[in-house]
This record gives sequence, structure tokens and C-alpha cells, in this order.
Amino acid sequence: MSDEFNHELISAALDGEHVDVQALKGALSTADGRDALASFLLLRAAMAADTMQPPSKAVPAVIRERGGGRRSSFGFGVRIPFGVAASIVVFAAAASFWLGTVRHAGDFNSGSGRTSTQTSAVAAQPSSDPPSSFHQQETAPGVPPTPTRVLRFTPGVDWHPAS
Amino acid sequence: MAFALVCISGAPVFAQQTAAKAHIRVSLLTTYRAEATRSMSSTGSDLAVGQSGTIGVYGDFSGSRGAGGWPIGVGDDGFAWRVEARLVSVQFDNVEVAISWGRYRPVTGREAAEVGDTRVINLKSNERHVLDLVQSEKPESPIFNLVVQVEARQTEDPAFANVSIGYDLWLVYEDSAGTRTTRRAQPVGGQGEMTQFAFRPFGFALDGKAVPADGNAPITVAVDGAVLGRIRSDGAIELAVDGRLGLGCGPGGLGGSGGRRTYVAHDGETVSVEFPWAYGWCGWDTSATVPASARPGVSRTKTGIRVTSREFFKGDKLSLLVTARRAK
Repeated sequence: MSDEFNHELISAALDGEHVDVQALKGALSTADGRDALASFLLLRAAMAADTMQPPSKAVPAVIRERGGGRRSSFGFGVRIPFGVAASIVVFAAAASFWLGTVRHAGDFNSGSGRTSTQTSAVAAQPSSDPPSSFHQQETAPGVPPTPTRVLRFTPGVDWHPAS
Repeated sequence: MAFALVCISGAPVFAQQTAAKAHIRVSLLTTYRAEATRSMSSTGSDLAVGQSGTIGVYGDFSGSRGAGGWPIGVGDDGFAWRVEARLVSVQFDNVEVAISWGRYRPVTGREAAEVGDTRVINLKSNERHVLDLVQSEKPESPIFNLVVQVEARQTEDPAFANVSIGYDLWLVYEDSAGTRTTRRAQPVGGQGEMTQFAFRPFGFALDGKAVPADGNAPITVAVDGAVLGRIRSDGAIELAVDGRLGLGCGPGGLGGSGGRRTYVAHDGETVSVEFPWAYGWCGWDTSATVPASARPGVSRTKTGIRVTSREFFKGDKLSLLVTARRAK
């Protein structure tokens, strides 16, 4: 298994998700897996102790979504995967996907086609927890709202072939 | 003929009113000749995490059955099941429960189960887990078999018992050039209720261009699933999104994949859940060759053409935008 897969597995287990026990044991049998576990635990402890950091809830999910093999100092003085830093850039850039021309094939009931332009976007956060501050947005009729966060199904973890 | 015994023993007492609770239900199902399998008796316990409860059900092949606590009365020709359940955890829509069960015969006494085991199971709303099945050995019996099953679901906060949650669901397909095609559904469900949704499929030609998703579309992508919302006392909403992604080849078969994502959102907050193209393929029998303009992922097999979603949709995004609001 790749380091990235192992990191996702460990993070999923820490989040209380159901993972394959044997795979988890395998992930923790490697030095990199144990390093990742230590980093995740320290990071969670740091965030639990620091209530003055509203955006911090986004960080664990970033690790889960984009865990990597390299390590770098970040934020709370603990060592976390280097990919986290890159992930923040990636997710901020992801907001740009919501800009541009939008072609609508119509809603579920009408099936009619329309064209409009998305006019705003925010940096999406990949966290399973809600952001500390939130303001409901107004969207034009027929235009999908802009998400505050982007979550992903992870193949092999919470996404599987249909039986 | 049906009668029920109500003699629940060891009824649990909530250790903490604030602890997560779940309702564990044990049912006896019977299958009559030339009829459907039906639940004929059932009973349950409300348990807090860490608590245990004992449930008894019984039945025989003449149609007698009952449910209650343990011990439970049963005729000489019947079977009694003792089910001890311990609630391990409750998270979103997933209930983990440890079960120790045994099947007993009055003729052999209650001391030794003739069959049984211990298992830890995870159940979601509307799911069930069969513990035991007994087939009739008598051809004249009006009942073919007896089945004992267990179900579990989170106990809802009474303060939100009659609350409705409205969902604004947008399915957004975005190709690698940034062009988006959308679908929308707006179902309404109750507190903790799995609410189904389905979108009209997207259609594609072999070169990836969008086409009407009718019977002539070489490739179709269909998304359906269910969403469960649970309003918390702090106003936030716990959400579980079940997604199913079906890849269809117009004249051929269907492949697909699916999963569940859980998270917590503010009332009215929009969260995007991206679907992966990791699994799924379809194909059909044909003597035609693969057009030169076809996208990667379209390949010729011995008997026809095969489309693999991972390669065909590489660079494209499929997202479900979920906005949940407490109904006013």
C-alpha cells in the first residue's frame, strides 16, 4: 500500500470511520505509518487545546484528503505531512473551478436548458466539521450555490464498487 | 392465531440522558407457503452507549410466536431465541452493536443453546442483520422457515421529532474544459430520515461530447442515493450522504460504485461532495471498431466495445452540492 493510502486509512480510523483492521495494522507496522499517527494525534491535541483558531477544524480533513509522505513544520509546531501545505493551495485553487461559464441542462423536473455565469466563489475547505463562521448566501434562480467546503469520497475507504 | 407475550426483562435504564442512544429491535419473520416472508412479532430496547439489554422471541411452525424479554415462554414444539445486545457506539446513521445470541428448545432446556454466537455488527437505518434461520423439516407444515433478525437505529431527540429538513441538491458535471451541466432535486425528509433522491442521467458520445441521455446515448452517467439529516441541539445539522454512481452503455450493461460520506454543516450551508471515477465500466457486443475520436477508456474487446470510467472521465468532475435547511 502507498504511504498516501496508509495515511488516509489511519486518519479515517482516528475519525471514527470504519476501516479494515488488518489494513490498519499493516499501515501501523511501517515507520512512516507510525510517524503519521503521531503527527495526527499531536495535531488533534493541539487543535483541541486551541479554541482561538476558528479555521483549525479544517486541518484534520486536509490531512485525510491529501496526506503525503514528506514532512514539514506547519502551524502548531508539530510535524505534519508536507502535502498538507500543498493541499491548502490546491483547495484554494479549487474555488476557481466554480468560476466561468455554466451550462445548465435544466432542473430535475423541467429538463430545460439555460446558460448563465457564476459570479462569485470562496475558498472551499475540505473539512467534515462546519466552519466557525458562516453566512447564508444568496444565489440567482437556476444557479447552483457556491460551496463553502469540498469533500470527497475516497475509493477504498468510503467509496466502493457496486455489488 | 397470533399472540404476543409482553414480559420484557432487564429493561434498560438510561445512564445519561445526554448519551447517544439507539433502538435495537429483534424480529421473528415467518415464511408461509405461497406467501411472502413477513415480520410476525418483534420487540426492542432503547440503549445508551455501553448499556446492554436482553430480548427474547419465540415461534414455531404452526404459527405461534411471541416477543418480549428473557426468559420467554414457548411450547414444546417451538424455538426460543435469546438476544443480548450491547450498544457499542452511535455515529451519524451508523449504530454498532455487540450481539450475543442463542437458539433454545424447550425439550432440551434453557441452559444450553443448540446454536448461537457472538458478533459485532454495524447497522444503518433500514438495514437488518439476520441472526438465524430454521427450516421446517415437515412437508405438511404451513410455514417454511423462521428467521430472526436484528435492526438498529439512532434514537431521535424528542425535541426534533416533528422537524422537517429541506434539501437543495445540485448535481454538477464539469468537463476538463470547465463546462458545467447541472441537475437539481429538492427532497424533504424528517429528522434522521433517509431521504431518497435521483437525477436524470447525463449522456455522452464516445468522444465525450454531451448528448441527450436517451436510448441512443452510447454512454450514460446516472446518480442517485439518499441523504440523512439530523438537526443538533446547537442548530448544526449532521448529514450522511449516500451516493451511487452508475455508468451505462446504451445498448449494453451497467457498472457502478457507491459510498457514504458524513459531515456536519450549518443550517443552510452548501457543501460539495465529489464523486470519484475510480470504479465502473460497461460494454456492449458489436463488430464496430473504436472511432479515432473516442476518448481514452474506450477500447475494443473480443466481442465488442468497453468503456472504463476512470480513463474516460479523467479530468472531469462530478459533484453533489448539498444544502440542508430546517423547514420553517
